[in-house]
Amino acid sequence: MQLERNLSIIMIVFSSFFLVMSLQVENRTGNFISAGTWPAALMILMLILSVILLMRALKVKNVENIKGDDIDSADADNEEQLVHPKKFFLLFAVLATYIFILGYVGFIAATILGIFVMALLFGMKSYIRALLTGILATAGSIVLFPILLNLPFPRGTGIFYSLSLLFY
Amino acid sequence: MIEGLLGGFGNLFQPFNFFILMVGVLLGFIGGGIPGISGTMLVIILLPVSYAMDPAAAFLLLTSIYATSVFSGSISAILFRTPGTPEAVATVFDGYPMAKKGEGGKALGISIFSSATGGVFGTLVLIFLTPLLASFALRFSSPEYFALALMGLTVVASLSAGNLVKGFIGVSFGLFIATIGIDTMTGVPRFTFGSGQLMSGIDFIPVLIGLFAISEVLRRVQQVHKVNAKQKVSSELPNWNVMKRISGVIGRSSLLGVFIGILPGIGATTAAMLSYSEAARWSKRSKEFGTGIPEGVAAPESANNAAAMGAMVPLLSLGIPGSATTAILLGAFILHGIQPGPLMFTTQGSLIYTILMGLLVANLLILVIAKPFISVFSKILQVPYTIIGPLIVLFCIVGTFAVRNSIFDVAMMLVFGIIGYYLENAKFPLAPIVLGVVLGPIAEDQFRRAMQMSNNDISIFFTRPIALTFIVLSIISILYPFINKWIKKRKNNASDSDQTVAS
Repeated sequence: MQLERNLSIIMIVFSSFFLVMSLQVENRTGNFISAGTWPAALMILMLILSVILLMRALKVKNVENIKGDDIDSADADNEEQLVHPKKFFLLFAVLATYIFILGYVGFIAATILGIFVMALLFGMKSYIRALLTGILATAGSIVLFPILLNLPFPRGTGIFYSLSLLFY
Repeated sequence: MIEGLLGGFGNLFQPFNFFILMVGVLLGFIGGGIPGISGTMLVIILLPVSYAMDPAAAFLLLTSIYATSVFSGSISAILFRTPGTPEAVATVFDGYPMAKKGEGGKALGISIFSSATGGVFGTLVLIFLTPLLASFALRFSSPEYFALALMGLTVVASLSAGNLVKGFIGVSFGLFIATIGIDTMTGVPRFTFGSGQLMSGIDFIPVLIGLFAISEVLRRVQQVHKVNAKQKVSSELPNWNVMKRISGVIGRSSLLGVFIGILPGIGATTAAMLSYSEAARWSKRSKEFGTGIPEGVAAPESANNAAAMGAMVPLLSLGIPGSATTAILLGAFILHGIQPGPLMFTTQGSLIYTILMGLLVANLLILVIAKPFISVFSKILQVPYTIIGPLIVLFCIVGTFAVRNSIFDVAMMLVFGIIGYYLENAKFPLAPIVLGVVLGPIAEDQFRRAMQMSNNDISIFFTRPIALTFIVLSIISILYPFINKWIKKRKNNASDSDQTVAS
């Protein structure tokens, strides 16, 4: 319920912000229905619904306070056990870093490193096995996509660019 | 026509032509099964190769890839929550939950059966009704397209798992995402914040893969993984009871799929989504859609294969492509010195009937080849998640990158992965968001074009019979849950007061 309440507040802020932006979209044609009309209508709808959702979430919270029940913990019990909650943030950090460095170090280096770290994060015990997974996955992807299917992968810059030319 | 069909059949079973058909079917299976490779991509890649071939062999190769890749996208959609092709997007909604319940084999079997049935149905329609259907498709204009998209959007009521407010928020959000970028009608940048990358808009593939696949991986990384060496998925073709249960859905969805496929510019992805919507709307088990039921797999799978065949109708009869892949096939025809259009059946009858028979056989081959292919493919499930997890992420990244060669799309995929993770935690249904993103461009563009056609007179949607029909159906489907609830409440109140009087 707390998550629902927080999400509805985020949605209210989101829809308010983009409603204002929609109303500022340039109307080049001078028509009544312009480029900003459709998104503005959507944001008005989303704003109203988000307010309704927030009111519902607060109403349920009031009922919880009166009854002394804790619905949130019942929901938590129903979900599968998330034994390593911090791994969510670690995986997010790995993926964000991967995306950031991809353009600079190229597909080969970024993917070998990325798969290596992800395999360890997913619970692989052996560093060698994790590295082998990274190398084989990267090699397989390169054979399949840039070589066989002619799909260009990021090459990176400098020495990484030169390295990529050896393979694809 | 019969002579033409028999001639086509004879051409098809010439050794080289049949061999090429089999190669095309296998390539379609493999390509569609791997996220990041789609039928459209394979057809593009093999187009130059086909130039050197005899036209019959060339088109058997390209069309069989097209037909079978539409099916095989469902394999990874069901097993890994990552659609192998865009056409399998709606299969994720019920296919993956079925796999989670241990019914992965059943889901795959339903997918095989539904795809083959839908594809064969679509091909038969293509063979016998092409000229008639093409002329009907020409009656569709912007008001009709908008009304059709609106009808598809209103099924959000069924996709919202009982929470209409969250469902409509999701649809609004999805529709809004589709507006980001350069407005196609006026060229005005919307919500781009001066970013060159946002000017191209946000493609629905990163949104879809992020919301479903990445969010799932983010959840699974937090769990303990036990290797289940005995875990095996072998597809089971549906038994008689299941066939009986899904036959109506397959029939309706195939019909709807062909109909939507015929409309130029719509495509099998939208057809799958709309068919899922309609199946959810009209089913007696509408509340169970999204929880993993056979109907939820049968509807999109029969529709997308039927639509893929339907998209050939305007191509062959009018020279107008019905989808992206048929646009490439149009290029292939021109490359071979053939002009598609009304005279094609007369001037290139032998080639056309060979292609048609090839499509029929390719769709039937799905029933034969899919099972062993899936047995091999699903051995992946015996691989520990410590290896599978990173590989899924890799395929998601490559699949997303392949759409537009854009690292920005990969970043969007991660953003939507986070959004999907938290939305699922808050019990927000994700399907309405995807519905909004897929149907958004059609809905907005056609609405504005219709208003331009009528000089901002909204009655255009109510004075054209086809558009009016769709809009009335949309209104009924939005109001129906509320009216139904009100009637039930009144009945309950009446029976409560009767009991009170009786006591």
